[in-house]
Amino acid sequence: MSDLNKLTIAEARDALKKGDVTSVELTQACLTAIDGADALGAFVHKTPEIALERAATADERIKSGDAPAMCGIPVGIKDLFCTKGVASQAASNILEGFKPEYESTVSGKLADAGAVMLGKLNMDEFAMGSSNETSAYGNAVNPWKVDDRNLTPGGSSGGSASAVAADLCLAATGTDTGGSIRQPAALTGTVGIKPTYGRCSRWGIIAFASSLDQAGPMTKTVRDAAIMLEAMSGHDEKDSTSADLAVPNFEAMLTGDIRGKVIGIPREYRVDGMSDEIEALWQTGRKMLEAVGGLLRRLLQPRPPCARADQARLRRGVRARSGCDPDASDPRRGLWSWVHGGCRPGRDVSSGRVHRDREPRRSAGYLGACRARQAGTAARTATHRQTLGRGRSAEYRLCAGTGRGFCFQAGKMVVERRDVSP
Amino acid sequence: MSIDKDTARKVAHLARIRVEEDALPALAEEFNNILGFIEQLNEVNVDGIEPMTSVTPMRLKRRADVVTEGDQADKILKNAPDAREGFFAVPKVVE
Repeated sequence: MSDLNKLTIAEARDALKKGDVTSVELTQACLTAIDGADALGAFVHKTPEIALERAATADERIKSGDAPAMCGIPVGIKDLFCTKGVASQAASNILEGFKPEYESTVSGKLADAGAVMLGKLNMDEFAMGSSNETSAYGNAVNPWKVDDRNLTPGGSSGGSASAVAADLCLAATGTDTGGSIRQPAALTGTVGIKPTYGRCSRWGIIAFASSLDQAGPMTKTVRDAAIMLEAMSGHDEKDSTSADLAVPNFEAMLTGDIRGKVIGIPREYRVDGMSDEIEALWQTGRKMLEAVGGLLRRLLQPRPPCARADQARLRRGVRARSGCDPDASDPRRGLWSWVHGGCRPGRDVSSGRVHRDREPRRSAGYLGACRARQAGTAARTATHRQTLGRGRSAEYRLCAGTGRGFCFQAGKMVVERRDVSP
Repeated sequence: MSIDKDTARKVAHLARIRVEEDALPALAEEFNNILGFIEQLNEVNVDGIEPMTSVTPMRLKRRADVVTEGDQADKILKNAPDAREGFFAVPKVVE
């Protein structure tokens, strides 16, 4: 088999089970791809020794017949997750040299399921950013490109999105407080889910806003997201807010049948100044939902600017509270940059970004009228140059006008792929 | 209510964050943006709307008040820049 790193989790799982491939081979393929893709800035701490050791163990486990779905699957872990004995610094110099003596619950669950950690992934510093340009490691780069410019993979889980999109790993963990999984997934044409709050334990994940943070999978397909989320989910005594509910078999729910489901289309999601490109993707998404039997219903959402304001206020408030910093007097590090990093989402909001509502209302069903909404994740394209303040700018592009992740992947734009060879 | 340059300077001082004089107007503006968001929220009519704090029907978990994991001083101090005799060592702050 060639290009093993390009397999999906589901394909790799089946091939491992049949004995067509070993986890060590899969892992080697990923490690080679990682070494050839330093230009992407995705993997910031590589752990090849740990990876090969875990892969060998996984192979034995598969041989013995005791193998959960994630066994032997090479994954990347966002730098926000504490990993025992491996640098975990939330892309900040403040935590430089920190090697936790413990493992986060989510990365531990993946390890227990036999997943192979390839290394740690780039992100915005302390997850505060939407373009992976505030990282102490430098920018992460989107493997997709339309010309010779480097484009952002989004953020804060930018390294995770970039790595998955470039086939450096089969999947990666991300975390999402106000879009940090969903937006980078959209900008790289990958699949990301922010689970309902409480589904995954937050223990061992460096906190941003504790009442909003959730870990989630970032994968190549919806099926993979279902498989990986199941391995990440579950109640944890160490996180009292984690939900004490049974974890369903998410993969078994992927019937592809949404006939008769009512899907709300909030009118306000179409923002002023939205480009024709995005508008076309949006309409394509609608048609795809209709074609498979979804019942679309227009929603009038009360005062979306307030929802945006709500989100910005919440994040800033919680962020300000969590700002304890040993070196606040240095304007290049510490609280000063936190304060200013914290103001950028506010600018995004006023410039008319498609608004992302708070997760609880989403999963509870909007106004009782529907269980899913069509939601664009980003309203920018490569031709939009957004000035991010402090003289920096970023190119945003949209390659996935996502619909509801559970149902389908919509509207991936056809663009050239960046050559990630050295 | 609006935050002026002097108030921004005072807030920065109270937070013990050094802000250069020429950066104060921008900081004041950002504070005002935040207040603007709160104003917008105050305009929403929430009469008769039941507050929602969670979608998960569960009470916060409680546990017995007992030591579960102890005797880990070495591990806890492992990442300390300076540790002596089983304690974190920090620069003297009170004369």
